[in-house]
Amino acid sequence: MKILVAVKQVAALDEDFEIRSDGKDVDEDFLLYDLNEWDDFSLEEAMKIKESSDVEVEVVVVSVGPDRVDESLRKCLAKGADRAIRVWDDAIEGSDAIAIGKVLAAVIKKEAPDMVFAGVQSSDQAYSSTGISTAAYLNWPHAAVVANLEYKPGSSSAVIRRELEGGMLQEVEINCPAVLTIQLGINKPRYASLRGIKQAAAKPIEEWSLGDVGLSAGDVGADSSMSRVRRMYVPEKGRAQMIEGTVAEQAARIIEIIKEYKGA
Amino acid sequence: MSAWNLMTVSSSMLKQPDSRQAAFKLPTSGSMLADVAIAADDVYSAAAVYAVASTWQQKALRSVMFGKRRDVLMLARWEHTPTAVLQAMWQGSDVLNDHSVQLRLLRNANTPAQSLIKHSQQVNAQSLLGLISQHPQAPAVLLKQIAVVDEDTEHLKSVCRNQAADSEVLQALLDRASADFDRDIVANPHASAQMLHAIYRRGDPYVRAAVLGHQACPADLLDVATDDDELVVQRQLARDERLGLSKLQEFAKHEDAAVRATVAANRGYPAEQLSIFVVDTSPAVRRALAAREDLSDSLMRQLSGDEDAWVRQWLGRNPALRLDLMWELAADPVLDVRRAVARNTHCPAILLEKLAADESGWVRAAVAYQSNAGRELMMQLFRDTDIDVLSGVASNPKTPMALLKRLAKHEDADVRRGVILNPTVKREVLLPMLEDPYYLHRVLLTGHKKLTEADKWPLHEDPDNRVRFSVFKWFADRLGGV
Repeated sequence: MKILVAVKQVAALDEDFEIRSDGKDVDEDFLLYDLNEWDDFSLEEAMKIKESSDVEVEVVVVSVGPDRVDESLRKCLAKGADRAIRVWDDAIEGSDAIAIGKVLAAVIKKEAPDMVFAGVQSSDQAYSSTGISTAAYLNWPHAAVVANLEYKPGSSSAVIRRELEGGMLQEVEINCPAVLTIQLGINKPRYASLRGIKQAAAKPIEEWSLGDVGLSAGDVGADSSMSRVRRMYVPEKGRAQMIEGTVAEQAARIIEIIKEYKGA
Repeated sequence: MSAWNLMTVSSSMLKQPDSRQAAFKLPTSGSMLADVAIAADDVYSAAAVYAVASTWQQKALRSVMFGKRRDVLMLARWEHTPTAVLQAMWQGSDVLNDHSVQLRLLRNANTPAQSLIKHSQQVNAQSLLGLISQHPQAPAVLLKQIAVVDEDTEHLKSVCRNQAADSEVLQALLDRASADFDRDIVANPHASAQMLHAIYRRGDPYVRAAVLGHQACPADLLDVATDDDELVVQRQLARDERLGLSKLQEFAKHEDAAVRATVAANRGYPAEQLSIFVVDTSPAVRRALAAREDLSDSLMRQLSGDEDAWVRQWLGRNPALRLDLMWELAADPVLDVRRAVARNTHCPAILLEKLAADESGWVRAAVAYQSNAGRELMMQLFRDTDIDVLSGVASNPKTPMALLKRLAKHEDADVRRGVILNPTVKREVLLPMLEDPYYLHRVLLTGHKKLTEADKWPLHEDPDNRVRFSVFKWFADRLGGV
């Protein structure tokens, strides 16, 4: 039995960053890379199923990205994933979430897992589309914002609870295999053990090209995407109001503001 | 090739032939330590040992640290980057061409004074001068220069608020701009009595109150202030222990509750006259009273039945609290009151036993952290399932070693951390924790006095950069110069 977990290495902004000369992204020197927070939870969900199952479950993590992504994949291996696959070709540069979904779908067709997990969204681009576009290309059942999962490996269905507005939960029975986008808080992700980290350093990461999954350069990239970045910029914002003066003045002003907000 | 590479020397030219062997031997000198860091080719290890490396080793270490612009940016920003590394960064000519690096260096509190002096002469951006004016290491001579010459109001305010500005700097600002910076100068501990006098005379009520609250406020200003009828001034005045008794007695009957509460807390107000506050209509006044350690038995008795839970809470924590009242408050319906009793430094073991069975985990946790709680109580609380309770047991010096050994393997990081912080924990309990999955625990262990050098050294190859930095830094501090 196999669970495939799609993960992403996301970029976090350093302070006082600079925009790249082409105006479409932040200068890479100011980006700090790490595993997407949502993917920590989806990987943990897969590991929980693996560890509690009576049958053998293989957890495979997949990511689309250049060499630096290996660091995040090793983090997943250190947490117990069995295999890691990285897909890259320079032609993939500029792909939007829909195009990435096409690549992931191609990997999934080749790997034939029983279940696919992805994060609800990534913390950098936040399109919330990759998991669902993957399901669309596969024509698989899918559910988004999964906050609870009852699934026995090998079952033809799973029961999930989806998080809706206002604290509501929607309980859904879904046929498997399916693509589920996993929400934060569904579980408590483990830290990788030191032994796991050291073992992961020696594990191979499979590097796949577009050709390995039956795609070509024409299937991906900016020209094959449904959206393109025009520019990225920091908008003009109103500055926060600094409350000046002596300590007693500041306290008096804060009380005024609180009363204003409370309508007093 | 980035501009930053111009200031480096290829590390491969400078590596010692036996550097690989050196990695496995316990380093016994700064030089040996630096060899290992050079061989590791790791930015964090290099930064940790830079100060103790030889001149030629430092060249190789600069190559490791400054080879990529993103590493330079990171080191310039990082709050743990050693002063020697920041100084080395300043000495590179590329700093002046890289505004982003300059910004970070000027914000970094570890940037040394001499670098600030040198840079202030070269800086060409007003915003950077603003950062210098608020830098905690900025020398007074540099701040005075800014105070005398700079025209930017925000920079001058930053100078006023900078704790490194001495009275000479502040006087320079006063001479220049009279009252404009009064509010900011009054917040500076180096404001002199003479300055405070001048500021008080021309200040509005808020400024006058701030002057009265200053640590150097002269006693004669208190006399002047006793005739002030502004409420904000009176609230500050009531706080001063030097205030005369007659004024305190007058303030004790003030219509403003904050003034009365301040008097109630003022140690200059005699204990034998505190009864006026126990029947005060304002809970704030009674709360201030309940925290005093010179309360009479009768006052404590009255406060123990106060309708306000915060009053009873303050009383519960009061180390002067009578034992019989402690027992009463230990049965209070409000859990914060019971918890306050559990945290009371004079709470006896027998009462802690009762509180250890409290329905609230928060109360039981207070017992677990109590140094008065005995070994048997820790053994009882060890069976608790509440994480806060177990964290307290883990950190309690009375907890038997066998239990600490088991808690060191707990799935919750907070509990495991309690073991590391326990002052009685033994080396054999800590050793397996060198493999703890949470990086912070390994960082804490690099500085732990119960572990030997040989125990800590393997962490120099830890996968987490913060752990590697900590262990290399620990050895660097210990081994000193080359």
